[in-house]
Amino acid sequence: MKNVYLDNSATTEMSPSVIRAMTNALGNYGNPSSLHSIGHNAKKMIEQARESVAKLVGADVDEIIFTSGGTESNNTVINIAGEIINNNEIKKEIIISAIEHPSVIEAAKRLEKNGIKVSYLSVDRGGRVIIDELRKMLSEKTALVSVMFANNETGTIQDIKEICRLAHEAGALMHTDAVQAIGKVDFDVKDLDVDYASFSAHKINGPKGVGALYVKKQSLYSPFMVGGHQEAGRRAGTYNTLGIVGFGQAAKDALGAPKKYQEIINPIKNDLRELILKSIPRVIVNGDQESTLPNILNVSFPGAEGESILLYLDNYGISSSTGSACASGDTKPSHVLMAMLDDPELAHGSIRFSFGLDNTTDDVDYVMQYLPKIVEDLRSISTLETGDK
Amino acid sequence: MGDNWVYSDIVKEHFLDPRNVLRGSEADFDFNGKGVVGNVVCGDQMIVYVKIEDEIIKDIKWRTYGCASAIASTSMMSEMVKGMNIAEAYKITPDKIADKLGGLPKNKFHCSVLGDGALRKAIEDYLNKKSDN
Repeated sequence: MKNVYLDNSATTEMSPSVIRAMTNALGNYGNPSSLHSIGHNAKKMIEQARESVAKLVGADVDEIIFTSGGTESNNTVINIAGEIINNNEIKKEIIISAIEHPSVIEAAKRLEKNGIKVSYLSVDRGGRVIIDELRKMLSEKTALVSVMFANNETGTIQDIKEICRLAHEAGALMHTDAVQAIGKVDFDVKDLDVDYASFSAHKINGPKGVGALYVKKQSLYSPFMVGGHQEAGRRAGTYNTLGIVGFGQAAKDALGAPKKYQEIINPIKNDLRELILKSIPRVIVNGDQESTLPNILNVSFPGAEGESILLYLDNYGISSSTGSACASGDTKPSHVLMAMLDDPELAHGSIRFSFGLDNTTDDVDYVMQYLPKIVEDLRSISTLETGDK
Repeated sequence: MGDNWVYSDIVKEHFLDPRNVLRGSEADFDFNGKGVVGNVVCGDQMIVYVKIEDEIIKDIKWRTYGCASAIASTSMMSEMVKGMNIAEAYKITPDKIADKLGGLPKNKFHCSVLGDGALRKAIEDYLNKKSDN
């Protein structure tokens, strides 16, 4: 059976160059923190990877801290905000968008439990944060603003430069979760002027279990993991040498990737969108199509439920994902689509197709061989299609 | 999906080829009891239509909006109760349906096995109509 992988926002296949780099590093058992040659050799590999990651995001090398992934990077920043607020008379609150990744939202909720105020910034129907609302929320009490660069479910890209400018104007620090953005679109921490940014290796054809946090020089910092002097005391724990080497290679490869995504993948993704709109009735495309990643297409099929569509597609070898609660085993549908659309039928009926550089127009044709019939079949057995709601 | 599928083979079979589905309009099916459970907010909804004669479920049709286990469990339930006395059918539980399906993931159980509730409502609807006459 043909295999069409369109779930690259969940994770990507490791590229051959990453596998090669990691395979070559496999025998290198030295502890990078050791002073002897074997340890130093491993340390050198880590520092080379750091250079590659720094270059990809426009940072200086000492501004990159390796972590276990996007979740740890996000948790670390939200906890820094908590520390700032606990040690400061003026700073009392943080602002995050309503569509952040759970690793930001849940970390913020933990602060809330400890009495810290968290304000949730609304988004419009396209998933763009409402800047006027941010202006009203911001005050000298704001310690941190955290808004993701591009959303993982819809691909909608925010105006982080402007949001960051407003945050700084109010004296707040700015964090952006850029896990989905790097390697897909141009991303430069210096140009954006953010204080913190989160990255993950496995979204850019690197290995799982490794990521990075950008911390601008002189920005306030407190470690999340303690008990070691690694990363200049900013992240304790023996280095994940192998993962970091893989991340470094993936970052190197990702340098030219945004151009390829824009020129090759974006037209293929748009083809799928247009074909779906043309051949399936009553379809809603989710996310601001004027400001979106080149590789994410999110579509709602009212009357059909997302997990069912996903599993039918899987039956034909097509991998996708859904914002339906049923797929996650949760009781609530996607908080992102609910924040945008406030319509459970659209949230439950959503499918995300996320492309990688290996996808082709053949993949789109293959999806279109099956998708219209699947939606039609599920609608034909659906209670929502009888008028008997 | 093959060996790596998240549900059992029986669930897969009923999901991909659901039995006793009401396709088209409900006017095309001669029923004397109808029950609805669930709602779109939680992501699963079922309608069950029954044709009862001499307190026996002669025929049953259904429609479901929901995930694979919701579709499969309604399909399985419809096969289990066809030809059954209504007193017995009334006592069908989610456990029995899930067992027949070869088990369901824990997190799916309560949200998706709603077919028995819809069936009970359909039987109640039949009994109410009968007592009205």
